[in-house]
Amino acid sequence: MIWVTWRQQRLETLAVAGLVAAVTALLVLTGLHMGDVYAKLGVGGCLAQGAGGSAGCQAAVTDFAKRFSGLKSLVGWFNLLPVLVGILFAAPLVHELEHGTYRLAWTQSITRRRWLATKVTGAVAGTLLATLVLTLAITWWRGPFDRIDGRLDPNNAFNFEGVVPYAYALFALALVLAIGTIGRRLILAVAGGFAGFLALRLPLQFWARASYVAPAHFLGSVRAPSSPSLAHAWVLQKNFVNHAAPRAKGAEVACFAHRSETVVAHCMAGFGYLNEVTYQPASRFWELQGVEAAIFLAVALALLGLTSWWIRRRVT
Amino acid sequence: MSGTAALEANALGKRYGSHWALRGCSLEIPRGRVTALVGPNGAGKTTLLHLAVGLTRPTTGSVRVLGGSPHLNAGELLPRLGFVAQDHPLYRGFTLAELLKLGAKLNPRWDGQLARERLERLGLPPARRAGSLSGGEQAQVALSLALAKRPDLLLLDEPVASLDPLARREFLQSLLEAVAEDGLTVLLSSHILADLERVCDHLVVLSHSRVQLAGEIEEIVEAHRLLIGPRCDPTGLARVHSVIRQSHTERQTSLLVRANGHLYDAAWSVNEVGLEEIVLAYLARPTPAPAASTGHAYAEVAS
Repeated sequence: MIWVTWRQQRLETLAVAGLVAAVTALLVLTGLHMGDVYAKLGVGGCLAQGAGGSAGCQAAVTDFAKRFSGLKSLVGWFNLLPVLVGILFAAPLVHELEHGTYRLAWTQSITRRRWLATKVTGAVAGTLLATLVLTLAITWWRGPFDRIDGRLDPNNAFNFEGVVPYAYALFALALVLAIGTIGRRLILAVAGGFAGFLALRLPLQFWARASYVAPAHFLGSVRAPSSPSLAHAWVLQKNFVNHAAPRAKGAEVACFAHRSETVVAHCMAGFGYLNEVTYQPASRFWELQGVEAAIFLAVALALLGLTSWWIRRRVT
Repeated sequence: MSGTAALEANALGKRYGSHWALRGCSLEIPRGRVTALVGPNGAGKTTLLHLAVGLTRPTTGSVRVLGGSPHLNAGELLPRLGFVAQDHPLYRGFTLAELLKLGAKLNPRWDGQLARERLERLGLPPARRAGSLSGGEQAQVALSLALAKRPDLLLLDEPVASLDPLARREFLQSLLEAVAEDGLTVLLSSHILADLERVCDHLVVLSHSRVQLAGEIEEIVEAHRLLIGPRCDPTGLARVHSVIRQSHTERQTSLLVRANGHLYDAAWSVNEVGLEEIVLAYLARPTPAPAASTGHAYAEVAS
């Protein structure tokens, strides 16, 4: 059955291998160039100085980010790659149901349960391996951006790194298998796979992710020694409040003329303003990753259970 | 009797949603015979075969194949069953060599030599892709795969329905040869009767899930006669013999009867009648005969 599974997903495996190779090549080439620019502009050194870096340093960081923003948004689309990989590896099984060849497979001498177990194992293994390579490549490529912005940025690093890409890929695989098993149309299953992924991912990303773990809260002067480091944190809300002064007198507006946020904060503090910040500290990267991955994996397992039940009881 | 039956269905039913594909079907298929399961489209033939190989599970009743339950004993039963599904599905991207490898990997009783020799005789090279074969060739390949499992029971679902007359003849010929060599039990379904007579020795006619007629083909043909005589009311004759079909013109009455014992009546001219006409007469009957619809119809003829 292992040979049969391999033979049946050979085409998809080659397609995924080609895709992964092309994407990795693109990432390596642009990544090397980006590393050169990063070193030349001295971005690393600037970041080491912390928030208090010189104006020239700040400019270097901004310059670097600006220069590669186009490339960065292009690579943003690579977020769908694990989903595509999961869908491709689910395709052979759906194809088998759509074209009726399961009637040949299930009347050989192996049980349907073993047939399904081997096929799903093959698909999961391929999906995980491809996602591993993609995730390693993207994580390496994103290195410079992550050193600037951190890894909690909800529209960037978080979606590409850590454990969530594997959960996304397995979810897509399981969803396509479930739709394909029940509907027995590959095209329907593929469309449903993409739509279903977005239908779960986007609401989670925009409405739920920030509160997987209760956010931290800070109210105080930025000059206070207890003031948290917001570098690389995911800031959900940020206000200046002034309980002492009844009304702003207008003079502090001038603070906002400064370009650096840190300078603005210190300037405002001079007027007696306090910082009120709701945020997820950078240290919670793995915690939030774990929750998001667990959600996708739980749904994926439920879908696999449904697929297995349906294949054993309902498909004829 | 159940020990000798290759397949035994008892009040077997299968429902899809609100539609009964098969309902209250009871029949037996004897071992060591080539049985034709004949009936119109929608009679439940495919459903019955799918239930027999465990592709689907019964909604009601039970089916036993070679003494076992197709879904409870799938592990033991599947190696002993050969099945060619309707439209003989094959992996179109596989070469014939790869299909044989698949058979070898998935079947403990696989006879690779038999499969290779069959394909060689058919003139099909191992490097050909299944998708590039004609319908007749695909059917032959599917049959070869099923035979190479060395099954005790071979089930074929409408194996010749999609084939042209020449391919149909060739397919049945090669089936006949295989059966002669191995003496295996075969059940094949068909909605066309032509050519089957040559291959099959047992017949089950199924209509609306009910067995209309079952028995050895020779005995069936022997027992039925077409009576033609002047127009009359056949009530008296029907007391002794079963009248399957009657038709009247202004002057003439013709009856298709199953004779109960010796049939002789000077008033009638007694004619032999072909199997196809007998089957059509049974299928045309408006309601199933009580004797055929309950119990084991195959015993009915044997007695």
